[in-house]
Amino acid sequence: MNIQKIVTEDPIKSQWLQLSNFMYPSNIERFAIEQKYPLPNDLTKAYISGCIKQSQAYFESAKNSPLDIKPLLVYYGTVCLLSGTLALVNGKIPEIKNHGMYLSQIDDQLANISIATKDTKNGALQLFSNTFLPGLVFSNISPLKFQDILSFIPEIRSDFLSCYREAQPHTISVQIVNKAKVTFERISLSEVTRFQEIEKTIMSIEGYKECYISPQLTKAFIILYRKNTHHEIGTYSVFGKKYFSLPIKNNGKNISVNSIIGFFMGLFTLSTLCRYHPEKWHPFVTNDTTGERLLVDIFISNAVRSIPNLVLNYIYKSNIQFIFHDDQSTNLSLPIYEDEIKEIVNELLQKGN
Amino acid sequence: MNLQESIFSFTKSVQSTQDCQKMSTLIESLNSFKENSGKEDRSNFGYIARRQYLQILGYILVHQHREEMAQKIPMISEEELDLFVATNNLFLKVNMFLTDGIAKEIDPYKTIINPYSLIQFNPIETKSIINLYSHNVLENLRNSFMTHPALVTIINNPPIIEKDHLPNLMVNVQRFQKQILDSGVHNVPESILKIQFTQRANARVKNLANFVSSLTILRTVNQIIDQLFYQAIISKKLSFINTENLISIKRNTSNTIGKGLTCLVIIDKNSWLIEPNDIVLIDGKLLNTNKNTLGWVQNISFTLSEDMGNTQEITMWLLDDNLNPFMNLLM
Repeated sequence: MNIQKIVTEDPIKSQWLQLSNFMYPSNIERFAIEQKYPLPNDLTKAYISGCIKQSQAYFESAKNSPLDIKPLLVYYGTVCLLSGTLALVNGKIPEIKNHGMYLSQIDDQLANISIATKDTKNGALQLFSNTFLPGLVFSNISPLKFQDILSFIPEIRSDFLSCYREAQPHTISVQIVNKAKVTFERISLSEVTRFQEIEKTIMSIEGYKECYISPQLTKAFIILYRKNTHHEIGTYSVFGKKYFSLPIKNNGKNISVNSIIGFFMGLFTLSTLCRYHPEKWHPFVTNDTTGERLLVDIFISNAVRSIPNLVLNYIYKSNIQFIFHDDQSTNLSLPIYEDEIKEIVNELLQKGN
Repeated sequence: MNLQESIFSFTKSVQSTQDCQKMSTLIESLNSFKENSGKEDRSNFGYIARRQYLQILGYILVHQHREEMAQKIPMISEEELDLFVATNNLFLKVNMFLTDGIAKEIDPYKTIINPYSLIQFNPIETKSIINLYSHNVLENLRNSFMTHPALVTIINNPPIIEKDHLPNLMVNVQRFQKQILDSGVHNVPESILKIQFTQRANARVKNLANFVSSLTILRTVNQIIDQLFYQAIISKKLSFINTENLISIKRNTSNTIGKGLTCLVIIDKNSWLIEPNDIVLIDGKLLNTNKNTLGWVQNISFTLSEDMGNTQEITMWLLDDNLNPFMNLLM
């Protein structure tokens, strides 16, 4: 996926400026023609513009709202944004009849709340997944825990690990290292302390064996060299960092959700508690001593920042990064390493012979 | 059957013999050491022997010169020496059999084509008998060798060389080969380029150049046959460079001598035992060809890094179906 950098002092404002293009029917039509998407009719165009506008309004309102109601506003904003995007790429209003999920078990600790799926034909969860995470079918799946959902979201990985000291994350952050003649990737060992049999785990990542040579373990890293059949696997957070996603075993299936779906399911959970279980939500907001409240705060802030960005990435098939500062000068100097110097010297010596 | 197919058939025959296992065990005992085995660490012997790049003869030379070496070299027993000598005799027999009586035009140059000529060592008598191949496979190997284009070049256009000049010719062939090898797999020595591009029209120069090139090629091909024979004794399979261990192909060139390849490979179970002078197999898919290709390793450089992992850069000549690394040399 190509990277597009937009220099801005306010990423959230800039995201919505980009999305506000789709508040205008003429822009919607032009975009559909350029991208060869099905052309929406006037009603659908009105639906799309309405969804984007409402979404922005919900997100704006959430900014200054207390945690007591914030998840609800962000959730509604997300539903509007995702529905509008579905209509934009499919050319028709999605037939969403319900959320596609419900809370099957509520616990005092948020981590243990279970989310069950339903109505894979007209439920929002499945319909959104069909577009933003094709291939994942939610039928015949056992309920997922809230903690598991959060474990898939790379944007909150470090906060997740701080809050849930024993939990295993389902993302692994990957460094991309560019040398003059070869690019490789590596995983810091400090990132994988909670994994058993890490090399085996990495090799079980979908697409790994096709794209990478067997991992090499050093004292500090797991080194991953790309095969010549390499293609991009893994995901990128909105901050440009690469992650591998690890699945959870669920009823014999491998389940893995991406950030969009993860945020959507997480926000549904919090907003359901907020709206339908104030007897649980209020004490949590005012009296939590476990640290989960901090994680929820961070989760919602990240949702506000990331969801519009992730949607833009999807719409423009690009990795759009909103950055604060761009060095306007062009650096033509290249770093050179010891082994590259040796190689050059060897070549010159051989030519001299 | 081309020479590559014949040598594979030959090496398969070698590996099926009991004496192959016996020699393999002996060689391994001189190249590795297990702690708490109660045995002496003799891995230094094998390390130095391998660096002679003379196959079994390397072990005999180390034994013969062990007193002269700076570092302490462990001993081998008389019985072990006997086995090495008997095996080396088989290598000499193969070299001689390939060229004995195949054509009168070749007879004067048999010594030049033999890769062990010019190596000084004291011959040792032995009563040991080692069986490493059947006569049939050796016969097939010779039949394929007889159709080698370099051999045919000499037979079709034999020069007239005085007997007195043969030692000079031997030295010149050896120098010519060294010049090519020293310039590396991606380069052509200036002197050779000059002949190839400015003297092509001169029939006399061209014929002489082809003659020297043919002798060089045949000597090198024999070296490669010996190396494959040796590798058959010490290991089961050729090291295989494929998509599972290849990081990148740094250079893949073809010039007026042959085809050179430099590739970056991780160190894994398929590639960690590769040494200079080894013959390796390269997956055809990496070179966009239909079949796997043999490579003759010239140079390896290792990078062992905590930050970047362990890799090795391998430089090699690619071999054609006639085991020729200098496939473009004949004009």
